[in-house]
Amino acid sequence: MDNPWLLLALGIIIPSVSYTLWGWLELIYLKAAQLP
Amino acid sequence: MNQESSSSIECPKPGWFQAPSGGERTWIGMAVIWCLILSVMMPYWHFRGKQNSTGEAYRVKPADFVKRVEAFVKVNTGTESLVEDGIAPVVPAPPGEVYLLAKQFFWFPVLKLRAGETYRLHISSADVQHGFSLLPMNMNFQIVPGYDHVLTIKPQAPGTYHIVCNEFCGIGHQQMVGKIIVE
Amino acid sequence: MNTNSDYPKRICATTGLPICRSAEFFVKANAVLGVVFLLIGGIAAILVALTRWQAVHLLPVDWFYRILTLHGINMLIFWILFFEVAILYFVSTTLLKVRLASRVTAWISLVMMLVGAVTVDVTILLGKADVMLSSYLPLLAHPAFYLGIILVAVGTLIAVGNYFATLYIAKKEKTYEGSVPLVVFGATAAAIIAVVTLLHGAVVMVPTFLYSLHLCAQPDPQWYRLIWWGLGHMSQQVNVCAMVSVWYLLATLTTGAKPLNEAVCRSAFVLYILFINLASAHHLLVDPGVSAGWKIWNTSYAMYLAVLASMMHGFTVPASVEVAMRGKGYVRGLFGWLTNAPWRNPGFSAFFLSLVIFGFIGGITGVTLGTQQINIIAHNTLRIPGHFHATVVGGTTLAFMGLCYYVVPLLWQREYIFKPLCRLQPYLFGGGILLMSFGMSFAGSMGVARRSWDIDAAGSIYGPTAHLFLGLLGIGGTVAFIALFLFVGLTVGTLLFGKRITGKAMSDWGTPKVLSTSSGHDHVAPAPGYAGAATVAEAHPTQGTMVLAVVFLLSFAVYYFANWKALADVWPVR
Repeated sequence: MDNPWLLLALGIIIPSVSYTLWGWLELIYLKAAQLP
Repeated sequence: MNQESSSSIECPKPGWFQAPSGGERTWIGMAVIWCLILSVMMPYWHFRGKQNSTGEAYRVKPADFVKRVEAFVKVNTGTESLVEDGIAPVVPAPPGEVYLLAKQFFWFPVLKLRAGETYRLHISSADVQHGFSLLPMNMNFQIVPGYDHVLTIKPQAPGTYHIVCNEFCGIGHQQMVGKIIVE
Repeated sequence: MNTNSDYPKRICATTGLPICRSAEFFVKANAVLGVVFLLIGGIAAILVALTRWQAVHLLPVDWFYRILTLHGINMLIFWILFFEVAILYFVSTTLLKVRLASRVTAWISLVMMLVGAVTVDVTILLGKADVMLSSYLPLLAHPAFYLGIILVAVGTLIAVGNYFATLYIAKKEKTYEGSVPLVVFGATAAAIIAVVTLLHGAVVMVPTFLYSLHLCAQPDPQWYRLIWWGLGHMSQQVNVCAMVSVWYLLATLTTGAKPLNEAVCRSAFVLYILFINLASAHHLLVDPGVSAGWKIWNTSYAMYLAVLASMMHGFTVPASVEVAMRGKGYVRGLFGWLTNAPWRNPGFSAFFLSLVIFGFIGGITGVTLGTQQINIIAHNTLRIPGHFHATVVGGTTLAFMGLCYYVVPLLWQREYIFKPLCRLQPYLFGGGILLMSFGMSFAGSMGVARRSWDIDAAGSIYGPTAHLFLGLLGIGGTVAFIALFLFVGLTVGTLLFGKRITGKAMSDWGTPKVLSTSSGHDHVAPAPGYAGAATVAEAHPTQGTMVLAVVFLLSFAVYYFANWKALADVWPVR
């Protein structure tokens, strides 16, 4: 817990992957509408 | 008995890493249980509850969506002879794909649906982001241009329901109110 | 061995701590600028509140949306970030007894932030950025708007870098032994979260800025929402960390409270660092394109681990006050420690009111509204501002005001003017914000939309009750504005006219006297019957805090399940 650099790294990686990257990928892979 | 513990502005004495005890420990236990209950509620409702926001959506070009709405309106009007406020509502046959357009500063068309039936409501925007807020139940969804947002809905009771736009969309935002009629 | 001792500093006459002269200048500069933007945001606030109060309806339509944009940006971004930079510089140099890492860096950061903020405000007032704080594409503002925000974000990032460099120097030159003080640990958590926040800001604003100059295609509007809320919500989590650190600081200064268990407090901050930013998802809960799985996982902060952290702080902070007060002899009944607390001390009243408002109103509404399904009956209604005014204003801003009642005399070495008014101010502000938040939340439950100039513009859809609640919004907002203006006036007046106390300790706002000690030592004596206890927490019962905490939990459960019931009554939707 005394290592701010480790906390900084984890603090950046975890939300960036779980929130940002995952959400971004879902948007990228969204299918096109089938408008008859 | 622990003597001089340090304050929040002093460096802690070595060996400060201890397990919680006393009131703190009891409270943390209670908080963990509450957080587990919280954690269970959303997945539970996803499978067993009737109201969910799954984000079902498809990519669409706004111009194409507008054309689709117009085609839908053409097919489903003309069966309704009752005109309200000069607007002929569109009556799609359930269950089916129903289309609604958000545009600065109106909703198009006025839909007439049947209580107890299920519809797949496709909503998108011709221009900027809008907010679909169905009153008085107060059901709210985000409408984004380029995204055909599909809501599978089941109207419950007859009545006239207002659609208020609740995402700022420009100077006429507060005037943007539409209608859904349920019979 | 301290090789650091030759930097220009003075010894504080009140605390004995060394104050780095460079840091002192930048702390003052950033704090003053913060308060300036607080005032701008506050004037915008009263104008907006008096417009949403339909009976008054002060601003015309275009100015309403303009001033609302100004209000959001100046409060949520400028006031908060400038003040937090001041906090970072202050706690690192003073509590770690070290010099500020770089003056040049601090200057660059200050100039960038100031130029950026002024650019944004001028652009808004010229009517070129009527897009709300959230500036959702495809709504487009003038390029200067985006450029200004980029400057503020990068400038803040540079200041945060300066903070980390200061920590590094302190560690390398061994200006302190062992682990950093808890307040510094909390500030570091805030700084780490700030880095993630500002990185998201850069990622979203740079392409949008280029688009506004017609240099690239329009970024996708849903992508914009996703990344923007990385900036927008994560910045509020910086506020939460900073606010909690300030709670610990003020608890110590006003009552002599000490953390009961450092491991508990620090673990809670670590949970914040790892998980609290996932909650940005709660702005996208009824959005198209992102799945239920993504929504549920992220909005629960990964199973509410960060909520657990908040609940931990929510207990340990008042518990530490209870233990300190009982140690001084205030042991009567369950709440003798609370009734005898220094309520006349604006540092204490601001801190404790902040804790109660943030926890009971802000926290409970936040977790509830941030539930994927319950969000269906709340998104973009006034319930949302009802929630976040309790957290950011009743919570963070009020705590920061409390901090000023100490930091201003300590740094400027002047006594606050009109002390009786100072003592009243936190109550006025807290009360006003509470009333306004209630008005907003109840109006929102009836479907009244946020960010709307006139709820009757398309005919009368809402009943008289909605108008009543908008009236409460207006009155509460007026009271809060008076209290904000009072705070700014008292603080600025103190800087200019306060009695100088150079070289003397600041006078006590009121800290509780010791009623009895079992020995001559200054440590906290165990309560009768607890002398054999092994730790502080066991030695001193915290029943008073436990009762408050259980009341909190019960309120939470009632509010939470009432909302599920309300949700079950609306149309099935998937």
